[in-house]
Amino acid sequence: MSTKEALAKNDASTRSAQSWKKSEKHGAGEWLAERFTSLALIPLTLWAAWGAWQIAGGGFDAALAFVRNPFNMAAIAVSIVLAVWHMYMGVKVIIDDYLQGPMRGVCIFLTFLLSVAVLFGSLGALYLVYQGA
Amino acid sequence: MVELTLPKNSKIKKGKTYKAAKRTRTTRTYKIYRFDPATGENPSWDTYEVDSADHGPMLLDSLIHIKNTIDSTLSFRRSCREGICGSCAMNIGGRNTLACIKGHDEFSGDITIAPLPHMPVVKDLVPDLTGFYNQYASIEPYLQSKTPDPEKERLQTPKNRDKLDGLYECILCACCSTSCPSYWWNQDKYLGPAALLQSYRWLADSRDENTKERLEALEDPFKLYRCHTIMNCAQVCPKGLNPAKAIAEIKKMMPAKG
Repeated sequence: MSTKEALAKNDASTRSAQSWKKSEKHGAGEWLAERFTSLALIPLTLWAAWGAWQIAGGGFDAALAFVRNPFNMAAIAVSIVLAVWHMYMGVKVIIDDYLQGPMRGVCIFLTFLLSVAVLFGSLGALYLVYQGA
Repeated sequence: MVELTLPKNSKIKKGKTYKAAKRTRTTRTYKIYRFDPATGENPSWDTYEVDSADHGPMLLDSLIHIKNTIDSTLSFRRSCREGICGSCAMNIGGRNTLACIKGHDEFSGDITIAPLPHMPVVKDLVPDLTGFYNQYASIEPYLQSKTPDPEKERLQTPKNRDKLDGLYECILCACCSTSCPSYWWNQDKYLGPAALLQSYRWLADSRDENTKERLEALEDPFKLYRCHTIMNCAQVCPKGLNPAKAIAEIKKMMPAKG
């Protein structure tokens, strides 16, 4: 391949200034959501660590009693939603950075499926504990 | 997309060696990236031994000396030789900088000189910057106003003028953009630190009245939000500017744009 052909094949150097003017008109919302979930997860993670320390050594019954407390159950549910949301956004950023073409879409879709599965799996388990109460 | 190895036709081979007639205490060894599209061969590292007593203190002086006295086939861009035109931006000792304001005595041992990383190479140390310039053109780097033109100049308070310090000094040498991993992997979608710093230069200008339109044109997951504050841009900028901070300011303006 001649240099001329190689340069013509380079996506970046063939994009016109005009084509660069288009924008997808979103991104600020995602940026805010990343910051919101990060900040909210700081106290929630500390609380989760404290909770884990509380029930340590108490066995299954102690864990069940902890989760059945209405405040604890609400905090766990909020933590799960925010953590899964945060995880999905984080993994999507990595995929967007490093993959292109059809692989990008496929991997983002798989990440979405995984996130939904984790979300419903953990919230479902929480619901079962609530039912059993 | 991320590329961790060079393509087959870009693998760099060992090239020719130009030995000094007599090595002295002031002799320096330069390993320079060579690529000639006319030969169809892979690029190579050519080695030049040069007595630094024979030329001026800067690396551009070394390059000009090599071209004048040892190997006239060596190609590189240069113009002002005083750090204001940005032509001689290249990767020296593993770091992007301007050859004209970097002294050879700032390096120890062999000095490697390569073109700006991850750009198509035209020849030797000359990269193709077409995409880089198109990105700059797309941010519309000129004052835009809606109010009718005044009789005299558009005035600005000294305080508002101060907001342009650290922005207007950019010479578009492309050191920052080509040092940014996000730009390496996505330069066909991400504007890069240089174009974004220039964009913020107009967003921060009190006389520019198209702030909202400019922000709307930038709001894009790839054009703007590929910046992950890696900070290579601020580290290599030969003018000591901080493009990452300018990008952060754009991100802060974005949710409030309405």
